[in-house]
Amino acid sequence: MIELGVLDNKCPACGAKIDFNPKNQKWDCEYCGSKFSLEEMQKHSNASSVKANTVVEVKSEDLGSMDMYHCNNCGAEIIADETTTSTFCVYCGSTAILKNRIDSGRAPNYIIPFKNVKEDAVTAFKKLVKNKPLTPKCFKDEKNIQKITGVYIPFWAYDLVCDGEMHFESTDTTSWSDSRYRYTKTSRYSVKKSGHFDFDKVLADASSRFPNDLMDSIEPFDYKDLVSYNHAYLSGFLAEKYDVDENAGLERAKERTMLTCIDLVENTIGHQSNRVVHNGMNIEPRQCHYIMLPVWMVNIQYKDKNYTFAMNGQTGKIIGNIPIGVKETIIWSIIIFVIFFIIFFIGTFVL
Amino acid sequence: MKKIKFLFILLVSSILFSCFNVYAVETYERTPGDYRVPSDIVITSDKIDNIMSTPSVDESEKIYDFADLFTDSQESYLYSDALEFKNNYNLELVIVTIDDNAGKNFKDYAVDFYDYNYFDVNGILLLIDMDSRNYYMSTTGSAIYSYSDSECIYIEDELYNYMVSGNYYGAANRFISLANSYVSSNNDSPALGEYDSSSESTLSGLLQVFGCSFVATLIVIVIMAFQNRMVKKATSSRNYLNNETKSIIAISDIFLGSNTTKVRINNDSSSSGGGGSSSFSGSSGRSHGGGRGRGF
Repeated sequence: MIELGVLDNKCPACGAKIDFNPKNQKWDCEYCGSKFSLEEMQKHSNASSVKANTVVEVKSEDLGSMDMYHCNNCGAEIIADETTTSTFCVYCGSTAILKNRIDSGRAPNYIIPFKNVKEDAVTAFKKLVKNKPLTPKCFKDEKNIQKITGVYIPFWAYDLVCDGEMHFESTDTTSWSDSRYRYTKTSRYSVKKSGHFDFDKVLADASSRFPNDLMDSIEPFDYKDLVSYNHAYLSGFLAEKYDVDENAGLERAKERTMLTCIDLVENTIGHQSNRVVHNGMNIEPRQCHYIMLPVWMVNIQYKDKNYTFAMNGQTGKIIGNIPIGVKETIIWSIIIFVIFFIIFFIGTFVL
Repeated sequence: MKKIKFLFILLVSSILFSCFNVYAVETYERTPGDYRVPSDIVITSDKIDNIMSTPSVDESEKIYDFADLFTDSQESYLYSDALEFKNNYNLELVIVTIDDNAGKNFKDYAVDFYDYNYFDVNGILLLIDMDSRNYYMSTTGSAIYSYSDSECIYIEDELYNYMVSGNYYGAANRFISLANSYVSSNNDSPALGEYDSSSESTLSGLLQVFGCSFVATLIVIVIMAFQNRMVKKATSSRNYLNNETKSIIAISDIFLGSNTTKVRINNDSSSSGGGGSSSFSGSSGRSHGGGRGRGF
């Protein structure tokens, strides 16, 4: 059973709005300076609700008193708790967003809370674009960079079991020569192996809006920080609800897992080159978890196209595809061409 | 009776003698009115001695066996090989054997023989001097560059065993086959008679610089562009593997068979050709290259 309470996200000591602080993994009150751990927050909220005689409905399926923001421009649906406001859509930057009441759905099983703060993300982003000469200027614009927002992205995490046999055809090649000929000998083998592998929580992102390969690129997340979900962690951050069916994500998870299985088995073969002749490996899902993972993200527009950047909210790894700035390319091409021309000219005609 | 016997012996020996010598080397006379030298050679008084001491021959014969080292049939084989050589590579191949070098150094004899007869400006010559018992390979024109010094010396060394055993025909044959093998040009030099325009090379030099800069810039820009792409699809679940429950069992590893192929190593290609060609001037003023000469 998942412990979900209707949490106020108000400071137990002074009643002000309280946010989760990634640096010490506690809830810090900006006004009175108190810090509370999760247990303390829960203890207090249960006590205060009883005090106020409010009927607390603990529904394990409920996401609690959350606001849902719907973007009219791109259709994204972002969740925030009632003390956090979203003023623009994190995906398309549009400010035409509507606040709605949340509709109940499946609640996440686990969450990795944010480990780094917005300043870390800003610094990392600036470093990313720093040494890339062909970056368009809008990527270095402070106004755009400050739009970096912390969002919990929904994921499906599959526990997979892989079993089966694989058949390979392998070859070894040796060569030698004498004074008249060069000889090449090729030996062929038929190799059969069977393997059993367990995979824990293979990720496939459950947001159709978030590009899959971008999410793949900021992996891995360290599961030692994985904790049971509590929507108190969301304070100060946005979150997204899943909109990818858990079976659809399963195919992607199976695909990458199969590649790893083949790799693992092939590495134990002692021949030079191997070719899979028959793959009898079967991958079965044992369990599917719904996990929220922390991502600092920003969208920057260049020439009417959106470029998304993501930083792993736990490890700090930041990735994104920077487009090639036309103006920057032309300028650099000319400069480099002139430099090379001078070098080659001196080399040919003077030396 | 005795007289008839004597005449008979005389007749038989003269027939035998002539059988072996139907093709004697034809020579022409050089006179102050017509020295019979190629037109590009300027005749000055210091050259007269060299010219007069060099036999003037028909340049189409290629094989000049003054020392009678070859039979007639051997000569005709060598002649057809020399013709084929000229057809294939546009280089003269001349073989000269002498009994009497008229007191001249064999190297001088060889270059004079080539220069003061109407041979093509590019070619090679093998001289076998039975008088001083030396043999020597000489190169002229583009052949100086086609045969580097080390190649000429190598060719001369290859002929040594044939020479000392008196197998002069074998030596001549070996010479021709080695000349065929090593005819590739290793150095970039213009054949005599080619015109090199220096004004054209400035323009082409500029074009080269332009082209190189363009290619280099392109490479650098492409590298910079690739730096901008960082996103990759996941192709591994390695991080999620539970190492404790992992198990791989080998079921079988069966040897199916093997086959061996062989490729002949081509050692005719001259990799030993590295090395330059030095040259010197003969009495005619023309440049020649070649080997060192060897005694036998």
